[in-house]
Amino acid sequence: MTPVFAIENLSVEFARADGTVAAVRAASLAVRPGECVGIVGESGSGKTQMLMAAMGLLGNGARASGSVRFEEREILGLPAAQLNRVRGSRLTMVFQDPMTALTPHLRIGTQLAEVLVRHRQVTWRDAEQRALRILERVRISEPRRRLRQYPHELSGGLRQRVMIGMSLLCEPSVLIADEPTTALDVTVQMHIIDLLRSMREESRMAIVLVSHDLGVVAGLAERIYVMYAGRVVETARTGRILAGAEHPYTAGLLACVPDLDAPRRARMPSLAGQPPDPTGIERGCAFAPRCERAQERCHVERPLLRDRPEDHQVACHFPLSA
Amino acid sequence: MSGELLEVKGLHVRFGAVSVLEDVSFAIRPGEIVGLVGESGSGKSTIARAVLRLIPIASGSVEFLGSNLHSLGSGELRRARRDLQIVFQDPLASLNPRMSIGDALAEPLRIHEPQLTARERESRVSGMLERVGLSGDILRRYPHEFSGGQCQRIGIARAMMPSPKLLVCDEPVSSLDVSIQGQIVNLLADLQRDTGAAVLFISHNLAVVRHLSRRVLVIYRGRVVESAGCDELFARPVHPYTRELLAAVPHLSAPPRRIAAPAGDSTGLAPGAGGCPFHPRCAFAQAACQRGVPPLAQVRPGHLAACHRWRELV
Repeated sequence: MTPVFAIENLSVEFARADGTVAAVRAASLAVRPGECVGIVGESGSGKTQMLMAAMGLLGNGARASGSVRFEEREILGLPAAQLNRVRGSRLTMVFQDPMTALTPHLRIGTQLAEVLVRHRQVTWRDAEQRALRILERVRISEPRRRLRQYPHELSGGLRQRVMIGMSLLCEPSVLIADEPTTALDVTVQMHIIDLLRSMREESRMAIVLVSHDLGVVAGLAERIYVMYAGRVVETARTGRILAGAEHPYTAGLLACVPDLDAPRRARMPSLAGQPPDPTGIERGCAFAPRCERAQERCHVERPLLRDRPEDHQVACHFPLSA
Repeated sequence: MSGELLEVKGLHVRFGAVSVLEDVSFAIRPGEIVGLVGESGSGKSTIARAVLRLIPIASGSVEFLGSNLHSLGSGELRRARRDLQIVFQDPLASLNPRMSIGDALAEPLRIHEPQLTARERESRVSGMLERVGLSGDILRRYPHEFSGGQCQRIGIARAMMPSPKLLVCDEPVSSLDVSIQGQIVNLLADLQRDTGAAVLFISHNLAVVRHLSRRVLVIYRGRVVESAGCDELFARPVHPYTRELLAAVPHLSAPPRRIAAPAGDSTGLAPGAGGCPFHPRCAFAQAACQRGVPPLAQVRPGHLAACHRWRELV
């Protein structure tokens, strides 16, 4: 099946007073209709910037190159007027902080209806009816009352449900969810992930789910992309990542996911060191300074993303299977 | 003196007409690490602020080293605060952006140990930086130059400068990557072991609390609903809310765990007309749960739970 959304060789650079910063370096990713893919990596690994570039949401001073295809059409670099025909309707995005993503001085109902009036040319009355139905669909209690409320009157979990509802209004073929649960409590997080799962089952919509927490992504995604220092360093189907991750970074992230069924350990697992500084010049493998398996070669020669058995790619000179 | 370092008794806190903490009592012994778990809005941070006397309390008492903090004069309070330090959730926001790291760390010493010479201060600051895993050459740098994990190390170093007897950590790892959280948790464990300071560790994530705490308190809507030794709480949780928190921790073995009943939104629901505060979203609620707030009952030695149906859930 052809991907509905494909990022190819995407690079993102920011101009700064002290030089350029490469946030994303030749990253590629593909999502088929109805599929959910996850992107994991630490802060600064380029996850968000890659998707912001794909959505045409980069700020001034940023430059993106490469290709982004959506529904078999190139959308990278499209003028805003053309991009706005798909953005927010067929291709939508849910952000980490639902408070800043909603307009504080407009009622929930107005904000939802506006999306339909803008993209679907329906009347306000019809739009409000559909806004009510979407709140029911994302299982918000007392939907009629919510339509008249302002964002600050809702809890974080409810606001994120509203955001997801808003992103579903025009029946998108791709939903990008960037750390949608990171600002939420663990109990609320579980309900939001459940909600995304059932929305996908109902509509065959594809989802790109971004998180620093592999535990969150593994619960929903069929395929996982692991990013480090702006590059995809490993990708495979979720089961393969969980059972046979080959990149030491992926293995480190996996070890950090808590297992409450295992006996309590004296030390909490973590990755040593800090995420890399994107201003540095790339030499060798970016993960080498934090890698226990690193050898001389890792510090001088950058490993390329190579094919492994079972639809699996890894960028490491000394993968864990070897 | 009862042998407790901190003793919170019958604490009530109100913000205007809203009751935020209801009858919260707990104690921390010298050198003990106590975890405090609950969701946003449950009152965790309010407990931290009341313990430090950063907010006024409606009734109850906070006894620290034998004196009630909320009745101390300003001079005595300042002396008490030397032994009572806090680490905040947002490591960057809690550091002054215009103050170099060296100055930020030296400031607690200028306040609490004014007799020290500049050289003595410098040597204490360098020693502490090394202790938290940062190199001495960052003294002249500023907070924005550091990652979240490094800023949190700086925040911990600053709090530990006056050698406190109790360190209150309010969600110290919640804004950090999962991969970095362990570094900070392990650092706190090491500092506790080396200095003998007690720690009140606040988090919404049970998985984080588990590695550090000897005892855990679970708080829901301003009340302690369960407290037990750490291993006991994880192995045999009684309160349905604690069970829900445990089930919600993301983990890798598929399929995802699910809890019996669909949960409501804790802050979106209208408060129940009396009864157990958890009953509107409780999978085990019965009609009886609407009658009266359940008191904390001893379900096993050292294990308390506030649930009308605890006998059936033990």
